[in-house]
Amino acid sequence: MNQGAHRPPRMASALLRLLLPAGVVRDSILGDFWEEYGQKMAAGSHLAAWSWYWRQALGLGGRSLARRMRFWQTRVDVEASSTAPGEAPESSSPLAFGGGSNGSPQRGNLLDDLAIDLRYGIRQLFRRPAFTTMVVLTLAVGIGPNVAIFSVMKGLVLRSLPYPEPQRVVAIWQTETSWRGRMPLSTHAYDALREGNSSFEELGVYEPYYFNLRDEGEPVRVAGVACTASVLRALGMEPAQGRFFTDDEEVAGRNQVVLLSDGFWKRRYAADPGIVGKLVNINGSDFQIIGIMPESFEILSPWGGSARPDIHLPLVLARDDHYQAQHWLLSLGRIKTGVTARAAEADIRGVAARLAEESPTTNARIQVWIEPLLRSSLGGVTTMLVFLLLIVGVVLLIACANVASMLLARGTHRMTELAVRATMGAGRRRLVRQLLTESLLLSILGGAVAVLIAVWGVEALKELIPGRIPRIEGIQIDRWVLVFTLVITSLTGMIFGLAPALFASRADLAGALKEGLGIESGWRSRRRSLRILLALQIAMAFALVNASTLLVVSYRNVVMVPLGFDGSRVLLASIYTDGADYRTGEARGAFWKELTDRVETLPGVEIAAATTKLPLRGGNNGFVIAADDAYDPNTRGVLVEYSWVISGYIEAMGIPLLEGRTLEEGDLDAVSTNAGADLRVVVNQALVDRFWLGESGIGRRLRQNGNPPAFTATVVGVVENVRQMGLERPPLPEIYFPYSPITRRPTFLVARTAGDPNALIPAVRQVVNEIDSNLAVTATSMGEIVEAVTESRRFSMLLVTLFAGTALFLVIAGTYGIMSYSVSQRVREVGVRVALGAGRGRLMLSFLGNGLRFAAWGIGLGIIAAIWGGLITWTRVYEVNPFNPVLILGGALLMLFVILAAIAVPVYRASRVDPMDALRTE
Amino acid sequence: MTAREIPGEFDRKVLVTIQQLESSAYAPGIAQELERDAGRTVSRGALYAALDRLEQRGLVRWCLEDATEERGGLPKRRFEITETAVAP
Repeated sequence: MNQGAHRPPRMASALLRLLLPAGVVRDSILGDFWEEYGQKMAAGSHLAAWSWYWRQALGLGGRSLARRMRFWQTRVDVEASSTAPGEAPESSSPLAFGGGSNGSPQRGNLLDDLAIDLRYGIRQLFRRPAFTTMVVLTLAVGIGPNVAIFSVMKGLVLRSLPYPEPQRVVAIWQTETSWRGRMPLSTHAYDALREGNSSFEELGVYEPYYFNLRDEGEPVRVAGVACTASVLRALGMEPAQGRFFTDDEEVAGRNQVVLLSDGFWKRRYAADPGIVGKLVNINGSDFQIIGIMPESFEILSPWGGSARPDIHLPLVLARDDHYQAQHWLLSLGRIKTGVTARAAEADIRGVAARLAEESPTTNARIQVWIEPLLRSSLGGVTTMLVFLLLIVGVVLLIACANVASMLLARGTHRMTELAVRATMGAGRRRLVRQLLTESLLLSILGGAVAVLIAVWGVEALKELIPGRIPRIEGIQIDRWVLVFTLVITSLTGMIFGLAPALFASRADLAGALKEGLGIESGWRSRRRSLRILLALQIAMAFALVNASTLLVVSYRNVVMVPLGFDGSRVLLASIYTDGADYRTGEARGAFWKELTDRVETLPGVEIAAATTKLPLRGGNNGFVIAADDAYDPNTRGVLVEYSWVISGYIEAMGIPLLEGRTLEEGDLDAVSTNAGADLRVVVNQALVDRFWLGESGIGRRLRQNGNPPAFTATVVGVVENVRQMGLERPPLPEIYFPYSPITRRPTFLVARTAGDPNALIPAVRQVVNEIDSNLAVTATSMGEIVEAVTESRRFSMLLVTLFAGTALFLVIAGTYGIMSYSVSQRVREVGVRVALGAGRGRLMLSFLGNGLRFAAWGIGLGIIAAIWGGLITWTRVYEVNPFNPVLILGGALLMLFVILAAIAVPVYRASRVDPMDALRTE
Repeated sequence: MTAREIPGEFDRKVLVTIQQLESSAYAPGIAQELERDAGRTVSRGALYAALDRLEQRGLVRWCLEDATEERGGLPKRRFEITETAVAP
C-alpha cells in the first residue's frame, strides 16, 4: 500500500510547521508524523488517525511555543547581562524542557511565569471539565446581557451623529414653562432668532411629514422632511449626487425640487444613475429630483419614530398672521467654532427677550433653550438603557459572587496543592498571580461564550425594541463592543478571582499540608466567606426581583388605565390631503365630506368620521382662558389639547357623552362659512373641572389666550376624558372643534365597524382610490395604537423580569451548591454526632438554621438594596410606591421560599448520613 | 546533577529503547516500542523533548537518512547511543 498517499491534516501540519523552529530537526519531526499518520490510516481508522495527529501536533506545538517564549526571554536576559561571547544559555534548544520549571520556585520573570501560569491554568481547566463548564456558563449568563445591552447603547446613544463635528449641532426649543419644555418654534420666533443671533453658523427649521408620491408605480406615502436650505448646510454634509436646494428655492413656485435619500433611491429606483433631473409627482405637483443624499445622512424626528425620511423638500414658510404664532417648526443649528453651547444659549435668549418686548401680543412669554441634537432625538431611550445597564450590571455581580463561591468551595484540593508549592518556595504573590491567571482564563472563556449569547441577544433585542426608537439599524456587535467585552471580562475575572486568591494567600498553607488533606484547616473561615458571598447574592437578587415586581405591577396599572374611549372595532386611515388639488379649504372639506359619507355606506361600517388628532398620540395644544377673564400678556393660561373633528367622531371613537350634545353638521357649516365666528365646541370633563369645578360646563365660553384671540367658543357638550399623551400622562383639558378645512392638518378617517376593523382596509382603500387615485392610504386599527403605547413599558418589563429570573436561578444554583458542599464537608462530624445519639430531626434543624441564618442576612441586606433600587426604579414605575412594604415583604417571602427549596435537598441528605459510613471515611 | 547523568525515569526508558532497536531507532519506532512496553499512548511532545535532553547531555546522537515517499519526502533522523552513555 502506498502510504505516501495519506497526506496528514493540512491545518495541523501547518500549525506544527509554524510552531517548531525551522531546520532539519523540524523537517524530520514532520516526516515522523507523516509516516506514523500513514501507518494509522493504513490500519483502518481514519478518525483515530486524524485525532491522533491533531492531539500530538497540539501537544508538541504547545510545548515548543512555551519553550520558545522562555528561550527568547532568556536570551534577552543573557544579552543584557553581557555574557561572554559564545556562551549560550543552558539548553538553548527551543524543544528541550528543563525539569522542574513547572511550578518550581525558580525566580522567573514575568513573561516566563505567565507562560507557565497559562499552561498550568489551561491544564487545570481541562482537568475538571464539568466545573469549568459550570463556571464558564455562569459567567456567560452574567456577561452576555451586558454585552447585548451595551451594543444597543453603543448603536443608539454612543454612536455620534454622522455629521462633521456633531457636538456643534444642537436643537433649539421654545418653552413657556419654567422647566425646559420642548415646544417647536413659531415662524415669528424663527425669523427673529435667525436674524438676531450671533453665535450660529447656520440655523434652520424643518418639519418631518408624510407625502403622497407618484411616479410610474403605485402611489405611495413616503416619510419626508420639509426643511430650509440652512438645515442642510448646518448638518455640514455634501450630497452624494447632484446638489442641495438653496435659500432661493424656499419660495412658492420655485420650491418644486426634491432630494432623495440613499435608501429610497436604491429601493424605489434600483440606484438608477440617471435619476437626477427626472420628475416625480409629490402631492399632485411635479418635483424635479436634484440630488441624492449621502448614505449616512439622517434627520431624526424628536417625536420618536424610526422612519428615516425618504425625501427632502424645501420648506416654504407662510408668513400670514394665522401661521405666525403657531408652534410647529422644529429647529436645529450649527454653533460657530469657538462658541460654547452655554454662550450660544445666552445669545438666543437675549434675542427672545428683545422679541418679547417688541411684540408682546404673540411673544410675551417666549423663552428659548438648546439641547444636543442627538439627545433631543433619543428622548427617554437613554435613561431606559442606563437603567437596563444597571440591572444587567447587578446580574453580572451576582454571577461573579456565584463563581467566586464555586472557586472557594473548590479550594479544598487546591489548598493542598498550593501548600506543596508554597513549601517549595513559591511566594504568596506568585500563588495569587497563578490563581488570578486561572480566573482570567475562566472569565475569557466566559466572555467568548457571552459574545455568542450577545450576538443572539442583539438580534432578539432588535425585534423586541419598540418601533418608535430610532437608529436601530446601527445596533451591532462591533469593534468597540468587543473592546467593552474584553474590559468587562477582565474586570470580572479580577473581581471573582480576587477573593479566592487573597484567601489562599492568607490561609495557613503549612497547616493545610501538615494535616495532609487540608480539609479541616481553613474550612471554617472559608465557610464564612462562602456564606457572606451567598448573602450578597441573595441581597442583589432580591433587589432585582423587587425591581421586576414594581415594573410588572406598573405595567398592569398602565394597561388597566381607563382609556376614555372604546377603541375596539375602530378602523383608522391616515390620508394626507396636501398638494395642488387640495389647496383650498373647500376642496379639502369636500373631499372629507365625500369620503366619510361613502365609507359610511360600506357594509360593516356603523359610523365614519374624521379627526386631526388621535387619542394617545397627542401633541396639538394651545393656551386657553375663560372668555370672561381679562387678557394679560404675562399670564400663560391653561394648556389645552385641540382636536378638530368631523361630526360623528365622538360616537365613532366611542367616547361617552356626559352632558349636553355632541357636534352636529350645523356646527361645521358655521365654521366653513364664517371663519371668525364664535365656535360651538365639545370639551372634556378635565376642562370643566379646571375652569368650573363642580359646575355644569354647558353654555360656558372660552377664548384662546391671545390678543386678538385665535378663537372664542361656546361649550355645547362635555365628554369623558380621553388619554392624549400615551396612557401614563393624566388627561389634559381638551377641546373638540368642528372640523375646519381651513387648517391644514393631517387628518385621520375614523370608522366604527361591526366586525374586525382590519377586514375593511381594502374596501376603504378602494373608496379613496375612486375619489382620488393620487392619495396614498395608511390604515391601522385603534387597537394597534393602544398596544403600541405600552410597547416600551412592556419591553423593559420583560427584560428586567428575564434578568431577575436569571439572577434568581443563579442564586438557587449557588445556594444549592454551597449547602451541598458544606454538608459534604461535615459528613464526618454528622456521623460522630449521630453515633453519639443526636436525633436526626435536631441535626436537620441545625443545618436548616445555619442555612437560613445567612439567608436572613441576605434578605435583610436585600431589603436595603431593594429600597436603594426603588430610588432608581422610581422614574420607571406607574402608580405604585417603589417602597411599598407589602411588595418588599412579598419579595422577601419569595426569596425565603426559594432559598428553602434550594437547601432542602442537601439538608435532608445530611440527616440521612449513616454514622458507620461516615466514620469509615476517616 | 551533572550533564552526564541520566536524568529521569522516562529518559532512561528512551535510552534503553534506542539501544534495543539498534539500527532502526527512529522516533516513530521508539515511540511505538515505548507504547507497547507501557501499555498506553506516549506523548510525542514528551518523547522529542526527552530525545533533545539526552542529546544535550551527550548521551545520544543522531544522523540523517534519506527521505522516503511514505514520509512525504521529508528527512529521517536515526538515533544511537554515544560512548558516554555506555561508559561515563
